[in-house]
Amino acid sequence: MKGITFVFVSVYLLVMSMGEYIIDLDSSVVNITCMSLILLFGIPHGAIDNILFLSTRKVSTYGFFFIYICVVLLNVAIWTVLPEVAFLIFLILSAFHFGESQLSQYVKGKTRWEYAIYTVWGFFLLLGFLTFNFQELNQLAVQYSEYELISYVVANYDLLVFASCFTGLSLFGFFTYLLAESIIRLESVIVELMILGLLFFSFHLFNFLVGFTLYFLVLHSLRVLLQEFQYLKKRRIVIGLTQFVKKLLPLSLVSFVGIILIFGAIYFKLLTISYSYVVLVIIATITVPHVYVMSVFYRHYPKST
Amino acid sequence: MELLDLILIPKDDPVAFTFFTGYMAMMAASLFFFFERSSVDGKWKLSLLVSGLITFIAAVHYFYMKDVYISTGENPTALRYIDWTLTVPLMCVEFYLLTKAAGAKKSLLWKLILASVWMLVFGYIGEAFNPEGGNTAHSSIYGFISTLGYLYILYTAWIGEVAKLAKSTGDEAVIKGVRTLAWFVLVGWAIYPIGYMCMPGGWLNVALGWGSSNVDLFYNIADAINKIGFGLVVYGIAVGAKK
Repeated sequence: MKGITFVFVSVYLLVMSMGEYIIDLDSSVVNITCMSLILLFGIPHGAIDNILFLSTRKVSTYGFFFIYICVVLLNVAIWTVLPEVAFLIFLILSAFHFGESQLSQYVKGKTRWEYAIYTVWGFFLLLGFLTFNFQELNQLAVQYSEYELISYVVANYDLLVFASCFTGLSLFGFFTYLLAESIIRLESVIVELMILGLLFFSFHLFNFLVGFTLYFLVLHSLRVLLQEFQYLKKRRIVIGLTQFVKKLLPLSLVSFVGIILIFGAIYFKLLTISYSYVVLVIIATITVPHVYVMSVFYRHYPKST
Repeated sequence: MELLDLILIPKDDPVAFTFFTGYMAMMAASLFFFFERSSVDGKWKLSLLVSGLITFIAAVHYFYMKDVYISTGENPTALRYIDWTLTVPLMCVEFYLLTKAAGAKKSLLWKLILASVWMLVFGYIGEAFNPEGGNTAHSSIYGFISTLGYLYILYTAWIGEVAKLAKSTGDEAVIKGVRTLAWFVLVGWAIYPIGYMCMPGGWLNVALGWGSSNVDLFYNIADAINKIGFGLVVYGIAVGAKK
């Protein structure tokens, strides 16, 4: 069990020990807390994309930001015109990205098979999330018209269960292959299966946002931040934690200010969409270039078994 | 004909069944560890003695707990925690004994014992002083505080001092054995909170309707797995380690 897995297990058990309390809490308190945590850790983990990319590729800083912002704007345009397509792109890229951040410590992402493993892991996680929160997400889609696109992915419960089982079996097959090829140790497989089991159990027990936050906060954002810190330290781009935090600050602050401005526009009715929908679109648009940068980053990140 | 002093185990009561099975299994395991003690290398004799003591203390407590449960139908909470207060620190002693050869200091032993006592004391307050009918706030808060002690032991076994010391022995049997014990702490010890959350006011009791009789069911299963399993792993290390 690696450090980040221990942190996850610890946070998980502490949240579980207060489970009934959390369920009894007012849903708006829970939602605001979860959203804040997702933004607070989610934004910084992508706030040094420029440093990571420029440390591996010979591109000018201006060139990087130009392309990065163009991709973001293009994605905003797709969200405006074809939200269904944008949502689908977001789901596929998220699945790949989640899988890559979880499994890149074992497989490096050099072959198509390895990319497939990442994607299958990510889809298994997302399908489990949708299956265990089926009713809740359906209600959300019915209550709020802007969440209508969620109804496309939670349209049929049986199909979701089938897809979950299929991806679960595929993942099991991949793990068996990795074991047979001695790419991964049995203990690592058990830990990975335990993590998935714990995640699914939290998806089942809690409101969808609590379950997702548990995953996104610790297993994704904190893990990536830790990997970024170790990578930059090894390359002597940063010496200590303080310097790393300073590197995270500029773009994180720009993002937070941007979000506050958008929230302000909603508050003063200049924009007529909900806060949570804006958060979804922001995360989705930033995800597109971030996934590419991180994929390049993971090819340079050392692996273990 | 009347059978005096014979407590019958109801056929449909899994809790009573596991109490009796637990008692017999613990006693058998104690005998095994005590007898096998003579067949291992000198440096492992103390470890096997401690393993035998853990299961023997548990066996004696189970002897009384099964009677309390079968006679009254109530959870023998006080007896249960007396048993744990003696046996859980002894499990921590096992970690210390296994890594002593690699230079484990007494401070490690005391830190582990303190963490285990912390975990048990707050667990006991949460369970024994739970208001009549149950109180979610009470059980959650003491469950949360108790978990902190557990997490310290988990950290020490997986990442901290115990894990590092085991690695530094260079002995494959010790490294694997300590890792297996760490798995016991992670998975086996995690069964206890499930039992804890079945008490009145506990989460599983409120949310899933799992009655308070499940408390003892989970505790008995966990005890059998952890105490006997823990001892068997230590025995495995003693048999497989370098002379």
